[in-house]
Amino acid sequence: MAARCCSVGRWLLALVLASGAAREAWAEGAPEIYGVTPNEGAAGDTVRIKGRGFHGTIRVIFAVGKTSKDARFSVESDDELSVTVPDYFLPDVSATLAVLTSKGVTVGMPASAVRVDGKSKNTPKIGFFHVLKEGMLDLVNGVAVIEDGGAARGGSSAALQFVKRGGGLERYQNTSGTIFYERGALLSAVDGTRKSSHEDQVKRIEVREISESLGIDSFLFKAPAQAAGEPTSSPRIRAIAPPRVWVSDVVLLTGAGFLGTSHVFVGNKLTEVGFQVMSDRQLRLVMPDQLGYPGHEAWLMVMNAKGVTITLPARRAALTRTSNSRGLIWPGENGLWSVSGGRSLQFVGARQRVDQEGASRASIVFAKNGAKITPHVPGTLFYEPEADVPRTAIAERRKLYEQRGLGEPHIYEVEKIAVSETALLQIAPPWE
Amino acid sequence: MGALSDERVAQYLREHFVAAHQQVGSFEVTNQGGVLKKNGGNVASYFCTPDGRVVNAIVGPVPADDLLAAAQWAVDAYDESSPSAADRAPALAAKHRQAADDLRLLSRQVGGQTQIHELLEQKPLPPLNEVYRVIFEQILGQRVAPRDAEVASVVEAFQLDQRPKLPVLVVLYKQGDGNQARKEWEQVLSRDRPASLRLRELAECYLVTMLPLNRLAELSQHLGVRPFAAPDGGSPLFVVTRSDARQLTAVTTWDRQDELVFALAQGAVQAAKEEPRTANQLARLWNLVEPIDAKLGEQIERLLRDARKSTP
Repeated sequence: MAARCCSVGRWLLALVLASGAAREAWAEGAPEIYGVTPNEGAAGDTVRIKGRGFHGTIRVIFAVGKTSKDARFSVESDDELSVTVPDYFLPDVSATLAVLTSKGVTVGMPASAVRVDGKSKNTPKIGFFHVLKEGMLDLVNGVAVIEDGGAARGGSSAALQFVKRGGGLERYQNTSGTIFYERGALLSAVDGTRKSSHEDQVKRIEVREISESLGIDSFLFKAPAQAAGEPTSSPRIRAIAPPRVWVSDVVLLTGAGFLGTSHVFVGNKLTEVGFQVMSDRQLRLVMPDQLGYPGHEAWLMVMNAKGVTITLPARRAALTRTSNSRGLIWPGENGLWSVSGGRSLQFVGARQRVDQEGASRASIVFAKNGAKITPHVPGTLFYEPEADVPRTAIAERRKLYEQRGLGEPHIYEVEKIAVSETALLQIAPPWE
Repeated sequence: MGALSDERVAQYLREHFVAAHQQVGSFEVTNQGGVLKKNGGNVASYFCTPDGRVVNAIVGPVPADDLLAAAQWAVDAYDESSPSAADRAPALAAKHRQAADDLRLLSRQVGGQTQIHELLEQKPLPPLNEVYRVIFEQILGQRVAPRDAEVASVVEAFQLDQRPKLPVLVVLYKQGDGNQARKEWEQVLSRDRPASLRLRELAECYLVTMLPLNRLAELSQHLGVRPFAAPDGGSPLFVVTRSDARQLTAVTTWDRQDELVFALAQGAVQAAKEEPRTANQLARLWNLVEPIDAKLGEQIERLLRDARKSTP
C-alpha cells in the first residue's frame, strides 16, 4: 500500500513539473496596456490589446462619460487580449480602457492626462486627471488616478475612478460608476460631511494594485454597421424591450420605418441616443448618460427623412393614471401633454394656432400641416412642411447657434409627425 | 460646429464632389488636456473639375450656408456653361464677372469672395496648382509653408531601423531655428549640475530631434498619430514618444529640468517594458532611474524578475 502511494505521488509530482515547464511565465503585479490595435472601431469589431499581465483577466471595460460597458474578450497570452468592441452606438465618442485581473487593474492613461500637484492652478473641469502627491482636484468630471497623498472631490463624475493607497476620493455620486481602490485608500467623506444617499449605490472594488498604462489614447467608437436602404415611411414604434432600462442598457425597438434613421432622442432634454438599424423593423439603442431620474418614465423619438414618431401612452390609458404620481406623462387640453417636472409637449393640428405664450409654455412643439406658430419660435420644434412657422426667426436662430458654436438648434422640418401609442420607457436602475 | 459637419453641406458635397484636403500653411496645434488648441492657420475651399481646374473657391472658415452657396454656385455655373471645352472658360468668366458685380452692389467693401470672382474672371478654370498660392497668400493673407527638410528628417528618425528600439524625444520650439534649439539643448546637457548630468545620461537612451512647433500638425499627419499633447502653452515643448511615435508624456520650458528628467526616465522604463532588453541593459537602466524615482526602479526590478522567470 505504501509503495502504491509513493508511486501515485511520483506520478503527481511528474504531472506538476510537466505543467510547470509548459506554462508561460506570467508577469507580476497589476496588468499594463502597451497598445490597442486598431485604436478605433465599431461595436462588434475585434481589437487586440498588447501589454503584460493579462493572465487571469476578469473584465475589460470601455468607459464613456458616466457609463461603462464590459467587453467580451479572450486571453491570447499573458501579453495579449482579443477584445470585441462592446455595444455603444454614438459615433466619434472616446472611451477610456481598463483591464481588471486577479492581480490588479490598469487604466489607459492618455498623454494628454492633466497632472494635478500641489502647484496646479486653473485645472480644467473635464479631462483625464493624474492626481499626484499634494494635488487636490475639485469637482471631478473625468477619470482620475489618485496617487498616495493626492485627493479628489467628485461632482458629476466619470464612470471610473482609481484611488491608490493613501489617495482620497470623496463625494463621488455617479451611481453608474465604479471606484477601484487599493487597501489604504480613503473613500470616506474626509471633510466630515455626511455621505449622500447616492454614494451608497456606487460600486467599490478593492484591488491589489492599480497601474496606469502610460500613453494610451482613448478608444474612438465609430458608427456601427447599419442596415442599408432608403426610408419608405415615417418610423413607427410598436414595442420596446426591455421596458425597464438604466443607462448603458441595450434596448430593442420593433416597429416599422427604421431604415434611414437619422436621430433617436430620449426624455425631456432630447438626449441623443446611439442606434443601430438592424432592419426596417428593428432598431437597437444604447441608453445614454442623461436618461432621467430613477422611477420616472421617458418618451422616445425616432426620426428619419420621412418623419418623426414619439412614444406616448394611449390617451385613455394615460387619463386613468393619477397625474400627481412621479414619472407620469398625462394629456391635457388642446393637444398639450404634461410631464412631471413641469415639462410639456404640444401637438398643434391644422387650423390651430400657438401664440407666444403657448409656445413658451410647451417645451416641445409638434406643428402639423396647417398649424400656425407665431411669432415666437419654441425651444424645440418639429414641423411638417405645410405648417405656418416663423421661418425667418428660425433661420436667425440657426445662424446664432452657428456663430456661438452651439451646434444645431432642436428645430426640425419633417415630412410627417406621428405618435406611437406604446408603453413609455421605465427608468429603473439595477438596485431598484 | 464647422460647416463641414453640417448635414446639408455633407450631403451636397457627397452628391457632387469627391472631397480631399491638403495642408499648405503652418500653424500651431497641440492637445491640451484632451482639447485641441490651434493657433494661426486658415482654410480655403476649392471646387474643381475632375482634372483639377478651379471652378470656384471660398476663403476662411465660413458658415455652412456660405460654403453650401459657393458649392452650389460652382455646380450650377459649370452645368450652365457650354458643353464644349473651348467655350466653357469664357462662359465661366462671364459668370464670375456677374457674381463680382453683384457682390460689389451688396457691399461697398471688396471682400475675399469678390476678389476670388475677379481673379477667376481674369483666368477662368485655372489648374489648382497655379492659383492656390495667390488665393492663400494674397487674398487670405497666409503664408504657404515651404517644403520643410526638418519635418522629413524627424519622420526619418522614426522610421530608422534601430536595434534596440529607442524612445524618441522631440523638442518643439517656437522661437529661433533648429540650430539654435540644438545649441541650447547641448548647453543644458553640458552644465555642471546634477539635473544636467542625469539628462545627459538619459539622453543617450533616446533619439533626440528638433522641430518648429508650427510644423507639428504636418508631422502628426506624416506619422499618422494624433497631435501631440502639451501640458500647457509653454515653449519649448519636450515630447517623449515610443519608437513608433505614439506619445508617452510631455514637459514644457527649459526651466522644468527635474520634470524633464523624470519624463525621460519614465519613457526609458516604458520602452524597456515594451521592447526586448537584455538583463545587462535592464541593470544599467536600473542604475540610471532608481536614484530618480524608486518606483521606476521597482518596475525595472520586476522586469528583471519576469526575464529570469521566462528564461528556461
